[in-house]
Amino acid sequence: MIYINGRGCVSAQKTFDGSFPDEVIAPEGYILPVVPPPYKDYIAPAMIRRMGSGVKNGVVASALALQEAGSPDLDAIITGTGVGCIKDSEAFLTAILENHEEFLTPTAFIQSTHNTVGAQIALGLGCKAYNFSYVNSAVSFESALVDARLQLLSEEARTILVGGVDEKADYTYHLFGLAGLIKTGEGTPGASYSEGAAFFVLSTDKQEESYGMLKDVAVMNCLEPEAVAPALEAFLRRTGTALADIDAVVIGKNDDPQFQEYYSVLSGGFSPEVPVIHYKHLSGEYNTASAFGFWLAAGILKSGYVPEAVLLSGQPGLSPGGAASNAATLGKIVSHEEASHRAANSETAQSGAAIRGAAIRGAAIRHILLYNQYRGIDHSFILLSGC
Amino acid sequence: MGIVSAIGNTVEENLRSLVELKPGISRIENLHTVHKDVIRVGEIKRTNKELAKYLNLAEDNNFTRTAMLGVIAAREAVENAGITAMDPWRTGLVSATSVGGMDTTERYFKEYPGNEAVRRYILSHDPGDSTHKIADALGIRGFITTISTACSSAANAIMLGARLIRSGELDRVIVGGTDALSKFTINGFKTLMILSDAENTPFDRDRKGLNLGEAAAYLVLEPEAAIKAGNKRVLAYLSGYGNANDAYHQTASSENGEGATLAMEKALQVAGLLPGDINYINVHGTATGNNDLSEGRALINIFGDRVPPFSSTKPFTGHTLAAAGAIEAVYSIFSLQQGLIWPNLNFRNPMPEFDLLPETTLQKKEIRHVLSNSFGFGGNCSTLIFTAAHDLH
Repeated sequence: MIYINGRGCVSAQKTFDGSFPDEVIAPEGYILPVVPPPYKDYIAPAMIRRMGSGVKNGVVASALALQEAGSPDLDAIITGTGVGCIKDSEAFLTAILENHEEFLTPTAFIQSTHNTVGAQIALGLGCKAYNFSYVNSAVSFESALVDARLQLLSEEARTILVGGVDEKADYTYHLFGLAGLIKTGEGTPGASYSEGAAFFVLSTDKQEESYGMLKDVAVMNCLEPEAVAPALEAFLRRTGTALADIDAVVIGKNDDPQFQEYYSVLSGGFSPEVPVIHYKHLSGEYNTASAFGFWLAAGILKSGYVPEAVLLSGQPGLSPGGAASNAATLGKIVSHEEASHRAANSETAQSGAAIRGAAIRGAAIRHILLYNQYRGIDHSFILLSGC
Repeated sequence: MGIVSAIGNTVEENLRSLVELKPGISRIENLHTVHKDVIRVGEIKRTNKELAKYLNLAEDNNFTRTAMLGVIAAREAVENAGITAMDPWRTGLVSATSVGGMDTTERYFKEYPGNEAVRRYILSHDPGDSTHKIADALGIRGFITTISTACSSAANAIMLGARLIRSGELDRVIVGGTDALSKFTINGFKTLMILSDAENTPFDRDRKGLNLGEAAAYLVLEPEAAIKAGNKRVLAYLSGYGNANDAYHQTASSENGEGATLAMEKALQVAGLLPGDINYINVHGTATGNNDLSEGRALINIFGDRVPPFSSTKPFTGHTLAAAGAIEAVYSIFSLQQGLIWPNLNFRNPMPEFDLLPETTLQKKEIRHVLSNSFGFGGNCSTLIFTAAHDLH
């Protein structure tokens, strides 16, 4: 069995201190800014200035996950990153082109390699264990999960730090707009984008505070919409789970009007009351946004409730005698500025503001299915189960 | 297996160049760089146009050089393995690349906003793009992924492939890596002052740094059961693999070679072999001051005063970055098949720090186990062990 013993996330929501999902930041614009965690609590000041945002967010997210898991010894660090350290790549390439290959300094080049995040985490921890970085667009994080799962099941490893991280870079994101990946205006193709990092401690050792179990993960490079249902069926068969056992579905739906058929086909296969959960309207799209989905799903498994802010359709079976409203937790929506201000001042975010979302406490959510794809390719299924 | 490198466009050509001791280091021709008269490279002497024509690509294709080289080598690997269809076997692809489609990105980067015609290349920058194109060319649908751990990438792709086969996750997996020369990497290594202006001289006292190269190579891995059922010809066995992190510095290796030592230890353990079982080591041997010292110390850590015959084949091909682990896997398998140890070209004077002498002539010898090292930025250290086909039966 593979247990999720810790999680950490830096994103466009206040995931780093657990304020999300009770507190939700309303997205503004098509490139959502990350809510900065207190970097100085995790990284030496001189390093903060030098590190790219992917490295910084990766270091913080991994520190949070390790802290939750009780700082275990690691047998592997496995990172997924779609665009890698794109900001340093962009900076070095720009310098090459603008200075005609003269007067260059190595710093940006050194930090531009795709395995910089995994390497810096290892360096910070002094961890000499196995260290891999996967860079296959929207299945980068899932590839890392596949690798981690195989090592844990074969008992080659007992505890693994695994995560997904991507960063934004201004010119590259401008190019992504030109290429139709990022929405540039109302009704244009593309999705709202962001950046972020989510890391997890997976282990064969169950802990008191484990979130749940990673049952299986599958990656497929291409699928036609009509092949989604058969692929899901094959995946579930492999895990020995029936479709009817799935208590919630987490989908990687974004706000790009294209490629939505995959999700409607998938959720159409479940009874209407099964909660369908989405998150990219709050996290934004990026190659490893699905690691945010994994972070969210792990939280739902542990808490047993689906926050309204992420509930797309359906409702969980309610616990006997407990109506949804009775079990509601307070949710509020704040602006990015307010959240950043609070984060900077390390305040707890429990007071004030309007009550908007009502979280719905369901009967035990035992099995959660995650499905993600990006622009019709790089599909993945993940099955998580309660402990 | 399949390979395209500066010393040949096919498996056969690569073998011939090795046997005839013909290195592929030259002046750069296919890429415009201000450093063209200073640096020497392991360049494949085929232009992008020629590669596109060879692959029958449409005029408006968005293949990078990295992707084209990858498709050529992966196709040869599949053909040589006698594979005519991917079904019904669950077939995967694990490919490695360092900078993905940088070769086209650096050409059009500033042009994209103003020139719609070249924008189709924006999305081929993604490192996964070359992997997807190879998968499409081979008809692979299912598990595909890309690994980027700098210069150890392809060794790690081979390692993941082994894990996927051993666990029964896949019935067959095509593993390897591809990297094209780019201004980005040329200037990157230049700023680090580890590019040599002469032919690279691994493990030499006066070594001045590396020559960059470009290449792609892929291997087809299948489990024992499939081999028995299909009555196939086995080229070699991947018997051991190990990965460790030096956790010392982002770009430099530790002086005592700790990461490399751990990687070799793990690989020997997985293979169930003792250091004395290794007959030849294809070292990483980049000819940088730092690598060869660190790797040499690691060899002594593992083998003591009985270091087996070793050589770096980078004087033949240049350092092909993310592809290097796969290129050297092919050369290691050649060694097993031919009973030959490749010479470490350009070697003159031993390093003062230790008594290690690489092989300097082509040698005939029975070889049962070859150990191959690949190390990369980020402290990434990888070791693979290949065993002769006749040796496990």
